[in-house]
Amino acid sequence: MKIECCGLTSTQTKQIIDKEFADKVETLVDPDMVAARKVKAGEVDYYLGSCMTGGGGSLATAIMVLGYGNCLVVSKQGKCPSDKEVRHMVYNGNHKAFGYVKTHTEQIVPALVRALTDKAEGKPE
Amino acid sequence: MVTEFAFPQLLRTIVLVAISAWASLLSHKCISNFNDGARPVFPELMEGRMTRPEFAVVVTGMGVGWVMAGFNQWLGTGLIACHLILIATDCIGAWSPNQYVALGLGAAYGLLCAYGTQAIAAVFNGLPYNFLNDLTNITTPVLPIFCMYPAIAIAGQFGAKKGIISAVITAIVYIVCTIVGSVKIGAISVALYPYTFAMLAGMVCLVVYAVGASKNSEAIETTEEEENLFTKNAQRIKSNWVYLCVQGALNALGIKILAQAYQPIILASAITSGDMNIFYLAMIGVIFAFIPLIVSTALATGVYQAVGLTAVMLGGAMVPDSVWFLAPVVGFAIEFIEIQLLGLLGTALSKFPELTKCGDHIRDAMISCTTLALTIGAFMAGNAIWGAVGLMTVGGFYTINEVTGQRIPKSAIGPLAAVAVGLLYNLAILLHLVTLG
Repeated sequence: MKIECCGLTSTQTKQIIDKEFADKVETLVDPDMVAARKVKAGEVDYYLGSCMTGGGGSLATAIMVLGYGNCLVVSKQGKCPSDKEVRHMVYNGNHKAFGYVKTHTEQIVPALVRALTDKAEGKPE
Repeated sequence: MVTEFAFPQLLRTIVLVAISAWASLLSHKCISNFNDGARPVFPELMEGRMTRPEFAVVVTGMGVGWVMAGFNQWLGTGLIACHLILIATDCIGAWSPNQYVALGLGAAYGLLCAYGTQAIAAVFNGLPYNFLNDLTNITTPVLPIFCMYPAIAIAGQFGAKKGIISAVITAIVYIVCTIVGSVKIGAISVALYPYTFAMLAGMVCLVVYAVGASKNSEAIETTEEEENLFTKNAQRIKSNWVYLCVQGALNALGIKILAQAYQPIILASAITSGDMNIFYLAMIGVIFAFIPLIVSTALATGVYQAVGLTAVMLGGAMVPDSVWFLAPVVGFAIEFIEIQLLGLLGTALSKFPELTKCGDHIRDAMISCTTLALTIGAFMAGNAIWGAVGLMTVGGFYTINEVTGQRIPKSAIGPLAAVAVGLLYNLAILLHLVTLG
């Protein structure tokens, strides 16, 4: 599985994924315009982005390239979902791009990537 | 905290109301909005894929946190932030069924902000112990920490080693400036404002590294379909130039007379330190950091940013006091030039996609620095108001918020806790638990 790490905490996101999912996920840190196009072309599976509010700059480019319906706001300011809630969101949708608040990076990224890899392997929710 | 204003309250209120009403109208007409993240949702409404209520719900959902952040910035600085006004007007415009309602509600909201903040300040002033002065501590660490932002951005993008080198250079420049004080060139003495020059040194490092990196970057190949879309959208923005230039004029006047503030935390620190250069310099960084995000979302949607490329804020602020009434002219002109340059900037960005990444890292660094500064400042304010009890309270608020999923944004919790300390201290005075020395 290939994941593009974008947005304000792209470096931190990459570090978390590389540390915990080294055997399953390949990470890239392209500029968001490049990253979103790669996802659209099918070269990369998912787009992760962070910003101040979760739904703002994190997904702006992704929404513009991939379309609104393919993007999901995972965490908003004032509401950082639990691991279980993140998993539920991933299993109940078919999104390509995920946005979260930059200060939630540590909580969201592991749960999100775990859900994405488990779903790809066909594990139940 | 800014408490002395050079321009009368009435004038500032009128301008604020005008800004608020106009921004609501433009958001309603899908001409411009402030929240860069909400901009890509506008075509969903414009092209009929969403109904207005559906659209408004999404825009509001994205905006709530920001309005709160704007209020929080007012608490620490005494300045009415763009975020308090313009994010709300995005939502007001989105909900309004027609343009008259948008104008009316926008104006009402402007009034509410102007008088609401005054009323809260009046309540604080009437308390037995007025802690507004102590709250000034909130912005004390801002300049020292913020002038490190280029080094932080470098560390994020180019690794720790280059980041540390830049941080050390920044610190050395600061120290040298404080020792030397001023240089004489001929008969003119140039004061070396330490923070300004330290930040400038960091920004020079950033440019050097970024230029080096952009040489290796690959251009994005845009498809013909995208090209056509961009051209069509640039055309739409250009056709709305009268609306947008009026908005630019209002914004420039607004920041000149401090009816509203952009980057209020830096602006307030610059005003209180008496060195506006640091604000101008910071704004150059801000403009650079926001251009990729604003240009790309504007060209993808045909909706422009309510403060343009933020250059009107720099231009407006730089107008000398004696000719303040020229600020709208400056704002109008800057906005007009920006709109003409949009297409060109878009082309430049697809040639150097690395620049967008630079922008992300700079914005992240700026946010990290101000969040840290506000948190530390809140502890200092808590300490100034009520010593150990203050520290305990702010610390408690902060960590409880952390472990329970950050229900209050990280940058807001500290200052809110400091205000809580002030209120609790007054309560303690009323209950005779503490006596004023």
